[in-house]
Amino acid sequence: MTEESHRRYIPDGQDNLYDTHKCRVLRVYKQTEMDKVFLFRFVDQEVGKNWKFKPGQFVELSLPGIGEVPISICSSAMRIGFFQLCIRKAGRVTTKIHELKPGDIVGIRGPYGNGFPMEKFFGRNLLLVAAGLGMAPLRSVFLYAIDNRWRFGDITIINSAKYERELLFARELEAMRDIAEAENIQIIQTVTREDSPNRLKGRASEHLDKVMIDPKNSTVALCGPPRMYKSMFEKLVEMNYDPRRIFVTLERRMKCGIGKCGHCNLGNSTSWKYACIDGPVFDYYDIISTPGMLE
Amino acid sequence: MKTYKLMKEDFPQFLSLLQEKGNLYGPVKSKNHYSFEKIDDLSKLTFDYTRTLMGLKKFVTPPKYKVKHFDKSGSEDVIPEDETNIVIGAHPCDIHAMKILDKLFLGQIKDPYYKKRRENLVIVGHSCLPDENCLCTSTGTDMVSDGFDLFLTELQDFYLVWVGSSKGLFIIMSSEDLFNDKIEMCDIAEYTSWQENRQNSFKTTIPFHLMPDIVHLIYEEDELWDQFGEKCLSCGTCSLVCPTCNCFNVEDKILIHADEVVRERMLDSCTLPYYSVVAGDHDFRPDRTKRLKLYYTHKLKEYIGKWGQPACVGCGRCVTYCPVGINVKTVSNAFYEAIQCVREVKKI
Repeated sequence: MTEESHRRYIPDGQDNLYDTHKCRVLRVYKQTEMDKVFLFRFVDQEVGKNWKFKPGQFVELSLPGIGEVPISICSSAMRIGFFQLCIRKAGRVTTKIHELKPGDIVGIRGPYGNGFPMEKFFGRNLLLVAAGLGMAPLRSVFLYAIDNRWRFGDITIINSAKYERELLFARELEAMRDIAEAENIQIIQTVTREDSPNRLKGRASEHLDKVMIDPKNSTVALCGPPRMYKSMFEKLVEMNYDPRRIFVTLERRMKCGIGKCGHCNLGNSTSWKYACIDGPVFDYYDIISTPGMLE
Repeated sequence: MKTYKLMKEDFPQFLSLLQEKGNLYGPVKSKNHYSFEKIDDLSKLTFDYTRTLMGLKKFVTPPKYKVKHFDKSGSEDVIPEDETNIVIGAHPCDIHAMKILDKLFLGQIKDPYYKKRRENLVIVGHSCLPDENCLCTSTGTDMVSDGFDLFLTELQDFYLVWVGSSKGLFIIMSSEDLFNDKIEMCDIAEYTSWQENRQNSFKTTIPFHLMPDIVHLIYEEDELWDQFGEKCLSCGTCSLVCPTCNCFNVEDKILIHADEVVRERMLDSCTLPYYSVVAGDHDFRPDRTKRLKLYYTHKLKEYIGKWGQPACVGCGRCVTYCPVGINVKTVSNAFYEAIQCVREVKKI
């Protein structure tokens, strides 16, 4: 069981937690046909200096007149004053976000959510498994681990997607491969539905045997569709990964971000969670005790 | 707690006193229901009612309200101004519901919009007599000892006025000649007899104290839930009328001249179809049974874990207003009966 201190994230500071900070789009670059990565900087540099987040946390991005959407931060938590969001064009607001150009201003509030308990990852090997858009929050963990390389044991990252054209941050990971190998970081990229010349074929769970890290003394962070979690859990436990050190991050409809609006609630009865303040990162115990989490 | 006597002939004067202190709201009959409305004409006020359509939540989380306003120069919060809204006629269940909302909105993470509206509100409770839909003896919310500013118990010739806050005391002190703090033994006798009569007039009880554990343990018994899921119209009436339902949605609206935008918050309901839909149209709760499960487990069990008590105050609004009879009474009874059947068969 995780400790209480990690269970819930209470945002603080402002009088009105719904107030947004102005952020300027510095750069937009296309990842795939559907996904773009946006680099934001705080207009007020004082705010930017003090604005810190943890890997796995999210922000509410607000476009006046269109709406607000919760988006995971995908850049390293070690960099201060700016951050990146990887956004898929999936709905009304994100379609509008995709029209943003450098120089445009948006509203940001957050960070929200508990994020990954990175201090618990220290001193252990790290296995990251991402499927599809799950690479966005895990990239934040991955870059954080690289920035704090000395705190971790061996690191393996598995990035998977249905098609080559949907594989997020594939070029970036490929470009890092040499540096990564020198630092004992293993990068596995796999595509499930087509044969691609430079990639493995099959689901992430099928390539767990290629992972070089020692399962004992390892932490696992998963992000992908809930279906993937089920098969991953079975495999990982079979391979002697400690279930107490498996963390997943979930997606829900998070409208307010601070546990008021009720849309992101999960589970039933006493094991009731709001994904926005009790999550979005949950551990194996939460998954087992909260029905409906992996739906 | 300070307690006073207010004679019935002084009651109109008391109402005018309240009107001087702020905007007075109270129960008014409109067509086939009662609701808390602004009182300009005191003769419209009626205290002989069981429940209003919406509880006190309409004062603190109105069905729809603006939270932010954007224009070219920037954004500003739309927080109501300082004003006093006095609502008279709230029943004990309404006050209990307000206490539950307070825990959520004014707990560790405070909601500024709720906070301001709550600070502006003065609650003057009023005693009530139950009808067949009232379940508050089962939920333990038939009596109230705090959470109000003033509470009036209507007896034969006078009102017993309970003072619950300094705001309430301030109202009393501004017109002290109306109130008498000498409570005689015969007054106490009259109050006790009235309270006992009231207790005896409750017709409906449900096995509420068992419900938290039952809804938890029965969670996977889909056929029990399906009997309600199949009937449910997903209309959201139960959430609208429930005094503790507070889920909200946020929407942006561009005004007609397109220079200004308002961000509006509106009540939402977990029984509505789109409630758990995320980007890419994935729905976490596609069927009605799942959404009803959410509604009832949240109300009856989850709140205990989070706030120490269930979120049902037994006001009977869902019993009165659900068009297909899915309410805390029928749900509790159906589950309890299903368990009783098994007990009979297995002789447990």
